[in-house]
Amino acid sequence: MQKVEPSRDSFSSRALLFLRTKISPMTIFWLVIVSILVLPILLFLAVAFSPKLLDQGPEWFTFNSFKAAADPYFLRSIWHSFVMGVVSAIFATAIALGVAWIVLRTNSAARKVWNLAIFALLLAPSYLIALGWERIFERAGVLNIFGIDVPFVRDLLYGPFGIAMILTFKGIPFAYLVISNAMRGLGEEFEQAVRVHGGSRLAAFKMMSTLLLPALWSGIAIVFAESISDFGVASQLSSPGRYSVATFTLYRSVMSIPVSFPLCAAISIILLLLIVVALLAQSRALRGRSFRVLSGRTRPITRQKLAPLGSFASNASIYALLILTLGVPVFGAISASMIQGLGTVISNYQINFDNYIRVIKSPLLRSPLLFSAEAALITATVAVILAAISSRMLVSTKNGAGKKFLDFFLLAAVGLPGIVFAIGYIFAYNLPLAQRYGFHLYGTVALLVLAYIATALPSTTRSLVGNMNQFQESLSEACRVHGSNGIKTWLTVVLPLISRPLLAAWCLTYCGTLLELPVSQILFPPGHAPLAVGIDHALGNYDFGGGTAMEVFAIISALIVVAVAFALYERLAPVGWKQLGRAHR
Amino acid sequence: MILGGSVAPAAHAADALQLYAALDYSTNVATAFTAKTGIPVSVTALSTGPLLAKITAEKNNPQWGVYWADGAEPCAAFDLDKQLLHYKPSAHLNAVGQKLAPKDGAYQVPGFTEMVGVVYNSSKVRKPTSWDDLASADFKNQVGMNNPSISGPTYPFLAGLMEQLGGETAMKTYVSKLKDNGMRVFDKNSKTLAALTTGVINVALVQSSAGITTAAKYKAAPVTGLTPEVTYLSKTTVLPSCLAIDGKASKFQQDAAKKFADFVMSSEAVQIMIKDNAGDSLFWPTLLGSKPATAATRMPSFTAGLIQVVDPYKYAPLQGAVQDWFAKNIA
Amino acid sequence: MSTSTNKGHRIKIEKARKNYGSLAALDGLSLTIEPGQFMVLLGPSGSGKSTLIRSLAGIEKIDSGSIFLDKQEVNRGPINIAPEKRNLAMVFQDYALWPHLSAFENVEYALQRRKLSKEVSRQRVETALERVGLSTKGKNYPHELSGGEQQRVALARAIVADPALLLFDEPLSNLDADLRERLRIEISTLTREIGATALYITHDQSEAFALADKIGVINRGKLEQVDVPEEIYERPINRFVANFTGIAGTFTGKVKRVSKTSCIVALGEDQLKVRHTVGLKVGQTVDVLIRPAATSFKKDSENKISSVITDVAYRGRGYEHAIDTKYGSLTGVFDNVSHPRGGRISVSIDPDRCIAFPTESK
Repeated sequence: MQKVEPSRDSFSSRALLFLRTKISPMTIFWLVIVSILVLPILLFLAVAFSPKLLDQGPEWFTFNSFKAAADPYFLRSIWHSFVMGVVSAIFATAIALGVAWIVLRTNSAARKVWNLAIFALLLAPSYLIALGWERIFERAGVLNIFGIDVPFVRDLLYGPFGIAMILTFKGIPFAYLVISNAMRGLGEEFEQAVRVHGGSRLAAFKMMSTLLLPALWSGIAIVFAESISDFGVASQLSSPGRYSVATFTLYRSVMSIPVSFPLCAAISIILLLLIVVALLAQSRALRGRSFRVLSGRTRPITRQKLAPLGSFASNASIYALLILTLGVPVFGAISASMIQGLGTVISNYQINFDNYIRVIKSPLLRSPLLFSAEAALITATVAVILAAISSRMLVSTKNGAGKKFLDFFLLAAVGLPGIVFAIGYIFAYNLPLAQRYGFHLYGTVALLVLAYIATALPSTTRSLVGNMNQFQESLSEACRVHGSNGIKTWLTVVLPLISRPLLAAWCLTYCGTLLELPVSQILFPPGHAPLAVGIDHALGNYDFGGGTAMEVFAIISALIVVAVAFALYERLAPVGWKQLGRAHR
Repeated sequence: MILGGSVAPAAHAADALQLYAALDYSTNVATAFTAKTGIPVSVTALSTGPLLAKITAEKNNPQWGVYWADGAEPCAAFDLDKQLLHYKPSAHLNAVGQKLAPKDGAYQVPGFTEMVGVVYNSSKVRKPTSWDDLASADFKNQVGMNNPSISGPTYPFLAGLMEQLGGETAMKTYVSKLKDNGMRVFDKNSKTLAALTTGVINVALVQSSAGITTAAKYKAAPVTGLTPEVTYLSKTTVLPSCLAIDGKASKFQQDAAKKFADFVMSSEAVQIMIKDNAGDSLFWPTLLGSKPATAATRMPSFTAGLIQVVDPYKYAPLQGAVQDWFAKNIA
Repeated sequence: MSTSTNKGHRIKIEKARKNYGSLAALDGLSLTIEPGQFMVLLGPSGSGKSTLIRSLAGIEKIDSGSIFLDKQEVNRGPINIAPEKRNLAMVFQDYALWPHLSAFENVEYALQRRKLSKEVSRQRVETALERVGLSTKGKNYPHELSGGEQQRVALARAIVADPALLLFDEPLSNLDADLRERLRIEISTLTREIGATALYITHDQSEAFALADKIGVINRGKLEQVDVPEEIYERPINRFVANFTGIAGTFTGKVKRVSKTSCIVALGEDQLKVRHTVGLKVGQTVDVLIRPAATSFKKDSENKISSVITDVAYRGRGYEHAIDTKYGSLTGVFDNVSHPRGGRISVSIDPDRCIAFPTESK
C-alpha cells in the first residue's frame, strides 16, 4: 500500500500546487483556440471600427462603415438573411426530428437507405442542389422539354420560397446528426413512463422531444448559422435585386473593385448580432434544466414495430425526402456533366461520359484531389479532438466566462462566411510583427490547414454537444477517484463513450474540408492548389461539364473514405464501444 | 506532400518572384522565364476578384511582386494610391499598344481583348445590330450579361458605355432599358455562357475571348438548335490585360519584376501566350510585329473603327458607385 | 487481500468553507477521522455532506480552509491536489459504472494505478468480484446487471486496489430494502477487512447507526455532534440531532420540577418524568422528544398516558402501533400481540429515553 509522503517546505509545495492547476492541457487548448479562431475573427471585425489598423483606410477610429452598412438596401438583405435563417432552421430541425424518430425508434425499412444517404446529403454543395432544381424548372429546362411550362413555380423558386426550401434541405443533415446522436443516448424509460401513466404515443413523442431540447436547439442554432452564411444557394437562385441576402452582399463587397473590408466587417458584425440572438434564444430555452440521461443504466431500446399503414407512411416520407434533397442535386450533376446541350433541343441530346473520361486524366484533378485529401485527413483528426474538448466545455455546469466566450466564437465562426474568415487569417498572419518575430506561417500549407481546422471546428463542436450533454459527470469523476488523471480519463472513458458520434464528426469534417472553396482560394500557397480551386478553375474556363464531373469524382472519393472509416470502426472497435445506444436488433 | 512542405513557405519571398495572375497562360510564361533567367517564380493563380481581395488584405505587409490580369481600372486605382513602380520596358508597341499603355510606365499592357463580344444563338434569334437594338422587342427576355461586382472584365464594358453614350446617367438609362426588356445578370463569363448554351438566354454579352471559344466549340461539335456566333456592336471597348509592379516590394522583387516585364513584352513570350488558341490565349498582342492566335483574328481590329479606348484613370474612381448602383437596380 | 488494520489515512478537515452563491454549503466545518475509522456523516439533503465528501475526493473545491490526508495538505482553499493522487476510492449513488466496459473491466480499471502484472491483476479482480458474490458476472455489461449487482460491482471496484481512504456517497439509497441491508453488511465487513479509513454519507439514521464507528450529524454546513452512535442516540446534544436520529413523537408542556439530569413536565392533566441534556428552568415551555424505544404498553411505569390506537403494522417479530394521545401522536409502539385499531389503551413512556428541549420560538 502506498504511503503518502510528508509534505515538504510549504512554499515549494504551494508553488507546485499552483503550477499543477494553472499550466494544464487546458491552457494549451485555449492558446490554440485563440490563435486559430479568435484572433483572425477579431482582427477582421476590428477593421470595421479602425480601418487604419490594417492599412484599410485613413481613420484610426470611425463609424463610417456602419453608416454605409445602414443603407436600407443592406439592411433589407440582412433582414432577408434572418428570415431565411429562422425559417430553414425550424423546418430543417422539425423534419430531422421526424426522420430521426423513424430511423432510430421504429423498424422502418427505409432507415438503412437513410443511413447511407446522409453523408451524400452532407457533401452536396448547396449550389449544386440549387442547380438541380433550376435544371428542372428553368425556361428551357426538363419540364419544358416535356411541354410543361410553369412560370408561377419558377418565380417561386427564384425567390424567398425557393431559397428557404433549399436551405432547409441543406440544413436537414446537420440537424439530423445532432438530433440522432442525442436520441441514441436517450433510453426509452422516459417515454415508457408517459405511456404507463395514460399518455398516448403522441404524448410520449412529445416527452422525448422535450428531453431532446438541447439537441433540438443545437440543431436550430447550427442550421440558422449555416443558412445565414450560405453563399451557394443565394448566388444561384437569387440576385441582389430580387431577394438579396446578406451573404451575397458581403461577398460582393469583398469581390468589388475596389474592395472595402471595413464595410464588409461592418456587415459581418451585424450578421453576428443575429447569431447572438440565436444564442440567447438557445440559452433561455435550456435554462436550468437537467438533460443528463446517458449513463451505465441506459438500456438499449427496442424498436417500435409499425402497423402497415404507419410503415408505408414512414417509408414513403423518407424516400420522398431523399428524392427531394438528394435526387435533385444528383440530377443536376448528371445533367450538367453528362448531357450536352440540355434544354436547347427537342431530341438529340447526348448523354455520355466524355467529361468524366477527360477529367480523370487531367492534372487539374489528380494532384489537387490528393492534396485536399491529405489536408482533409489531418484537419478532420485535429478538429475532432479540439471539438470534443470544446463541446465538453460548453456543457459543463460551471458557468465560467470561458464557456460563454467559446460558445460565442464557435457560433460566430459558423455564421461568418468562409471568405471573411480567410481574409481574417491574412490580417492575423501577415502582420509585419509576426514576420519580425519569426512567425513564418503566412503562405504555408500549415496555415491553410490551421484555417481549415478553424472553419471546421464550430459545426463539429456543435454536433457533439448533444452527446456531451447526456454524459453523466459521475462517470469521469469515478475515473479520477480511482487513479486516472484527466488525460487518461478522456482516453479511456470519455472518448470511447462518444466514439460513434466522434466518427460521424470526423467524416463530416473530412467531407467538408475536401470540397472547401473560399478559404482554399484565398490562402492556398502557390503550387499547392486544393481541389475546389482546381474545380473552380475548370468551371471558370467555361468547362462546366468537366468541372462538374470533377465535383462528382470528389464526392465519390469522399464517400469511399467515409465507408472505409465506418467499416474499420465496425471491425476494430471494442464490443463495448459499439453497443452504446444501439437498439436490439 | 503536406508534411514535406508544411512549415516552409512554398517559395519564400526573398528567393522568388511573387506573381499574382488571373490569366491562364501566366504559369507557362513564368516557367519559360525561370528557364531563361534562372529566377524562380511563385505563381498565385486566381480569378481577378479573389486576387484583388488578397492584395488588398495584404496591404499592410504586401506579398506580391507582379500583378497581371485583365482590366486597367485596378491598376489605375493602385497607381492613384501610389502603390506602383513605374517602369518602361524597351520593347516597341504597335499603335493600339501605344494608346493603351500609360506614358509614365505605371503599368504594362502586353495585349487586349474586347468587352463585349455579343454571342447570339443564330438558331433562335437574329444578329443584333446596335446597342439600341438589344433593347428592342426582338430581344425581349433574351439577353444576359455579367455582374460587374464579380466579373473583373465587366466594369470596363460599363465604362465604355459611359464613354460612348456621354456620361454616367446616360449609361444608367440604357442599362435600365435593357433590364426593363428582361435582361438577366449572371456572375461571370462562364455562367452567362452556360445560360446561353442551356437556352436560358439567347444573347450573351461576354468577354470576346470567352465568346469566341464557345462559338468554336459548338462549331466543332454541333448540337441541333445551338449555334453560337459572335458579333461586335459599335462601339466595343478595349479590355487591356495589364501587368503592374509593386512599388513597395523588396529590391530583389522589383528587379526580378522588371526582368519579367521585359520578358513578357517579347516575341518569345507572345508565342507562349497564344499557344492554346482558346480562352485567354485569344487576345491581340501589343508588341510591334506580333500576330494574335489564329482564332483571334475573328476579333475586329482597332483600325476598323469599331473599337474605343477608355481612360482608366477617369473611370476607376467611379467603379465603386457604379457597381453599387448596378447591384441594387439591375442585378 | 490483507486483513491488517490501521492502514488508512488520517483525515483532518480544518474550518472548511464553501459557498454556492449566498448559500453556505460548508460553514467552517472541522472534523478529524482516525486511521481505519468508519465515520458516517448523517444529515438531511442540502446539509453539505455531499459537498464535503466530494471535496475530500478532490472533485470539488472548497473556498477556504484545509484538508489533510495524513500529513499532506491536499486542499488549501481552492488549491487542490488531483483526485488520482490521493490514493482513495469512491462508491457513487448512481453506481457510475462505465457502460462500455464489462464488470470485470470496470473493476480492473481501478487496479491500473497499482501497475501490477497482468496475472496478479486478474487474480485480484476475480477475488474482488467473488467477494461481492459476482464471480459469474464478470463478462456482463452494466446494462445487463440489476441495480444491486451494479452497486456490488462498484463496491468491488472500490476495494480492489486497497486504497487508504474509501468514500461512500449514499450508495444504498437507490436499492430496495432487503438488498440494502445485505449490501450494508458487505460494505461494513469489507471496509474493515482492508483496514481503510471510511467516510460514508447518508440521510438514513438506521443505516448510520448500523455502520458507524463514529457518527457526525451535519446540518447546514455545520457539525452538530460527533460521537459514537450510542452517545448520539442516548445524549443528543441538541434538538436537531435528537429529531434526526429517530423520534416517535413530540409533546409540548411546562417544566414543573428540575433536577440535574431529569425533570417533570406537566402536560395538561398528565405529567411526564423525562431527561434533559441542556439546562432547563421551572415554568419553561419545553418540547419532549420521545424515542420509539421509549414507548410500550407495559402496565407498570412511571409515565402513563391514555391513548387511542390508530394503526397496526405487522413486522414479523411483532406489531408496531401508531397511537393518538391528547398531546400528540406517537408511532412505533411495539408489542408482541396486536391491539385493534380504535381501541383505548394506556401507553407507558420510559423516562430515560425521552428528552426535553426548550420550545423554539417560531
